[in-house]
Amino acid sequence: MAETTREIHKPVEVARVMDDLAEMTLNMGPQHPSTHGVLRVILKLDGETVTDLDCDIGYLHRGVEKICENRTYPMITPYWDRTDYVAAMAGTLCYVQAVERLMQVEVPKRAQYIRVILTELNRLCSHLLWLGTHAIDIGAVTVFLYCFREREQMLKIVENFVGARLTCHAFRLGGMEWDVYPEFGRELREFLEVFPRRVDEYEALLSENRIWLSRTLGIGVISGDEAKDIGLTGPLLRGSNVKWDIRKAFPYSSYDDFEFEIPVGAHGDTYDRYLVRIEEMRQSHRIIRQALEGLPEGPVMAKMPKVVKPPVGEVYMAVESPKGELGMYLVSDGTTRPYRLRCRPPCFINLQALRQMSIGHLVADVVAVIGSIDIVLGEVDR
Amino acid sequence: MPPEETKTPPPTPGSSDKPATEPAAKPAPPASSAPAAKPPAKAPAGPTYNDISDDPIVARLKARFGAAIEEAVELLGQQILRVAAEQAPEVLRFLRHDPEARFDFLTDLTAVHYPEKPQPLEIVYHLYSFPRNQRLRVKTGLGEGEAIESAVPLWGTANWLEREAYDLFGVRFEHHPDLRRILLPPDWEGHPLRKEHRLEYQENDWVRRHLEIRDVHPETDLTGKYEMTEFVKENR
Repeated sequence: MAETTREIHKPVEVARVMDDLAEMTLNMGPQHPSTHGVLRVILKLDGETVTDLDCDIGYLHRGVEKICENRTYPMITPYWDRTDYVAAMAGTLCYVQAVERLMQVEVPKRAQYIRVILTELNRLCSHLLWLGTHAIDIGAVTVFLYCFREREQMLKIVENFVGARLTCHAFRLGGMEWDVYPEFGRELREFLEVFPRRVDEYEALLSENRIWLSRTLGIGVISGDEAKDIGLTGPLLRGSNVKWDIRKAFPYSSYDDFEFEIPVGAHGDTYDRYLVRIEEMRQSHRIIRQALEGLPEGPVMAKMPKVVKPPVGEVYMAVESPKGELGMYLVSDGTTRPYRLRCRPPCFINLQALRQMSIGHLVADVVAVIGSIDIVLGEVDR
Repeated sequence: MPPEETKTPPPTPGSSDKPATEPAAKPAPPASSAPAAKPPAKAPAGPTYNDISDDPIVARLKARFGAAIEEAVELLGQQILRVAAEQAPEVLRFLRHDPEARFDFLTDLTAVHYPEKPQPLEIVYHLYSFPRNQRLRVKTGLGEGEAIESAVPLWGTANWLEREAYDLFGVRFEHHPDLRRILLPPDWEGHPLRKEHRLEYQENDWVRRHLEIRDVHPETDLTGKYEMTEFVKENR
């Protein structure tokens, strides 16, 4: 098998018939709307059934980790907005927390709460974008418009707060650059007021929709043990009935102050992963509400040295990004630049399971499975 | 424990080609006069390394593998284990399958390059145990050109992670089912996360070939070597 994949890995014509006429190689992507960016999937087909699959990634490789070794610590922060650009705050949060942990800086409680609010808003944005595009991939175009209506409302709040919608650079080393703006509470409450009903609307469109069910039930099944073996995290792992969430396992940024549930699926198929993400939206809503009600007074920035120079040492910090476990492994040599900064990208590791989840299914199901993995190629390739 | 602290090799501040700390701090003084007093105040502060040899799992490892467990410390509440490269695959197998350790999840696998150490490549495994909700970082050093046994039989996650480490660092993993480049193109030369690989490595032959840049000035340097101008050096 290794030989043949290596062979098809060469730049080849779009599709060609193998020696054995029963088997066909099909290139899907990199320019394909349902690959969510520039993912190239090389499929081996028997009729329309997938017998083998190989992912060709790296089209967006920018060498972020290398760049980070050559930038000072504050300069690096915005780069982590640009890996997973639909959930920029998770990346930034992970990075600033890693540096803060190594410098043993205690971030003020108010900043921690604001971080939680913004990160959870961002999780909702990411899940809504996922839901909209996933539904389009499967053929339900309307859902996309519903999702973007609420996403827009949230992005407005984010824009009013930090001035940008996607690559927000919301957090700074040591806390927040700004405190909340005067209308923040009112705008957020307005959103929180309507959001649960909106989630019900999405569910009304999809959860018992016959076409949706027949396209997602039993597709891309992965068991809990297989999921652990292949390194799945986030909604994929929870969809396979493993109750695990970093916000509970290793609480950071005051997550242990809030009450929320970890939804799990029973069967580990595409439909369960859909249900898990829908329920996560409700839980995020709960967290935001609690954080907003309990928002403590005080400063939003810790006392930080003018020149950020973490001591010699190393640290690994992980956050629960909307995609899974996003980790940063930071090695410092005591200078103003990191010696090594490694990002554990959830999308990259989750995408690895595509092969396992797709073999035996039809080509159209590969689209559904890619959608349910929820990849962002900016993070896969970094 | 102070002896541990001295034993832990700091990541060789002078090893990279960065002009260590002094020039880097220079841009600050115009902003305020305070920073001059700060570095000495900050230098002693820093996370401490605590010995964790009495941790039950570390104790079992030490009893079984002896000197192969070179170091077991805790830094910032995170457990770090340094293991001799020859024994690393066995130690990992033990950690994976031992009924008390049960590290059933490979969170991450990566490498760090220390060009000036005798073992320049450090492979870092981040393990996690679901039943015990515990993390462990296992590190092992590899000499130049040495290979290490693949961890794919233990954790499926290692497949792509090892391919990435191979791609970006040139680490060879033996018995890996499919060791080829993953992020960079198959015919790329070099391993960009190694320290000798400059950031400004652009005008190389690969780019010229693939972008079909034919009219190259005869004196253009296509090796990727980059000379810093005095201005850049001063302002790094």
